[in-house]
Amino acid sequence: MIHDGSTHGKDLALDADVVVIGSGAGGAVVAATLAEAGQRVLVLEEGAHVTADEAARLTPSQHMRRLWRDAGLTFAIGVGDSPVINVMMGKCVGGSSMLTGGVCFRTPEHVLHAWRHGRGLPEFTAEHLDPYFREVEEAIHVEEVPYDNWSASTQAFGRGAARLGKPLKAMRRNTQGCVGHSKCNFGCPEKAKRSVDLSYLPRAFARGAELWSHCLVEKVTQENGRATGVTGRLLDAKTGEKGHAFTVRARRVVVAAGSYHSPLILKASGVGRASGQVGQNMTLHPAFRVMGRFTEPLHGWRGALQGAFSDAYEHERITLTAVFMPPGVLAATLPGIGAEHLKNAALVPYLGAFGGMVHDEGGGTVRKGPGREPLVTYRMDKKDKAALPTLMRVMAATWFEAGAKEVILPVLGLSPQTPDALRSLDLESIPGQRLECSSQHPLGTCRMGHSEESGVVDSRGECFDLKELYVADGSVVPTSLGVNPQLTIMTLALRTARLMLERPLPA
Amino acid sequence: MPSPLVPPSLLVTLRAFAEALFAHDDTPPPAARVDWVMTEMEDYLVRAGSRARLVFRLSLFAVSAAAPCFVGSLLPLHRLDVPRRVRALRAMEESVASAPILAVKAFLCVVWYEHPEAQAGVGYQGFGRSGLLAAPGGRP
Repeated sequence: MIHDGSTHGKDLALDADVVVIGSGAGGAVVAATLAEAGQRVLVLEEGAHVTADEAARLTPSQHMRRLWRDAGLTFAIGVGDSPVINVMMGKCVGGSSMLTGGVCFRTPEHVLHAWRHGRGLPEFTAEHLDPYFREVEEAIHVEEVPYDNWSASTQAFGRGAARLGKPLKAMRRNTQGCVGHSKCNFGCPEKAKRSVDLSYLPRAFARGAELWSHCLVEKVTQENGRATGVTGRLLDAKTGEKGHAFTVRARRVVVAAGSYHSPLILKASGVGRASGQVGQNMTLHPAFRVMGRFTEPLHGWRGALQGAFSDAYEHERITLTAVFMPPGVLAATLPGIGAEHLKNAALVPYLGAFGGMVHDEGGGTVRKGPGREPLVTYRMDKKDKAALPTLMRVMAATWFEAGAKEVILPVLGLSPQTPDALRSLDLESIPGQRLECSSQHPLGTCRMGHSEESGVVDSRGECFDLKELYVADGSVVPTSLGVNPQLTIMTLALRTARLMLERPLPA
Repeated sequence: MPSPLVPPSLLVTLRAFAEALFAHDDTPPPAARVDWVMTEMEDYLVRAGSRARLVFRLSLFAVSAAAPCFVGSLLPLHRLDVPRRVRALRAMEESVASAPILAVKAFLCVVWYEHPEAQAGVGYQGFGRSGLLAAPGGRP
């Protein structure tokens, strides 16, 4: 059952066994798991509820206006020689799972190794996590993208990669019935992406869970060293302005508001001050797109948005994944104003696009900003910055091998490059501020640790310094993953929910 | 009716930017198309939230104030004629100060190319169920 807080018209008081803050990949999994175990679950979501049918009819900009945080204008400010990074984030029922391309990777073994030996979390072995992964994969229908659903853009990049001896691998995604509209980020016309609004949330509702949209949680209430509920404000549906107050009494609180907002809620509630870790350690997987221009049209929007990937450069800490963007986004990335812009925009059907992301060292910090949104900074590690010329060169080489005549690099204002022009371009000297960079994977701002000094939550997801307060979203992921985190987030959330069920609810 | 959240001065500068960005042979696009994109952009900015609006406004202010300097003018962008606006914006886009240009251009382009005529111009069959399924063969 979904209620709209924006139409409530007066103050609101609710109670539940467990209140879950956020309805994205983490919160939805926790809500369904606990509701199915018989607990009374209440989910609070800051954003709107847009049904899958409604989302299917939206254009990309309409989708961004209604489902994305800041309508797509969320940024991390680059510090030092770092780019400004546009960070994609959902603010809607379903959270960022509504915005993903559906990519599902299990946590790589070398990352789990780092968690066990570098972060002091010995329980995180592949064998231990396997049943949780399996359960989530079944619930969201993870499947491989068949080659005939790769777009012509992806197939072309794949040809180039194969000629370089580094063939692409088929992507695994949470889809069922995908026919390749390449619109996963903006509402699938076929409702083929099994985001949590279509998978976990209906299960929660079927077992009595309730969800309130347009509810901004501001603080976790506490008594005698344990969490006892939340307070916040109902929001106007269009402008987001704050309205009536709400309070929730609950026996257990789960924060699943994402890596930008979970630390804000904890800080506002005075949680985690001792460790100094809240809002620190953010990793982003800084991502860069490199496009190839062909002499024949590719119409790269025909086919699965993210059909394939390459881990052949993991030793360089680079993962390559297929992407595509709406024509307007592609046109915006091409240089030119006026006639030059229109001439370049006409090239959109002839473009192939692929993305490269860096398995980063961290360097991001989330602080309270002047308004409701946080002030987020990111200082790119020197090792990460040093990987970028390699990323651009291998992607450009792959496009040229595939037959592209020019490549368009993620450098603001830079004209398309022929092979000769690229050879004479000093990529190492390009300042970070000129790089066009995005991120879809903010992680780690309330990370798990073995002690209060090393993390905000323990390996069960419970805060060290406030009992019955759990965190279950990307913010608990202990390190950068190097791959898309959706499946890891859902799996850790499922594990946390199961471990919560092992402990009786407090009286 | 204009929203109080989006000041008229912002819309004047944004319109001037759009007229230059989508100008053909130094002639601005039809007024009806610019009107359409402005209506959509106003809705966009109302929904974007106060901080995102501030970032957008600062980006546009930086463009309005700085771009004319690249063609030796101290007038604000909207006071330049379209050919000079095009040259000013292109020069700023090629400079190290290109970030504000990209921010404004990105959001104008996202909206502009959702107009059916603009989509047709780049060979795109359309967004959403009806447009996609209208493509030959019943799928894109």
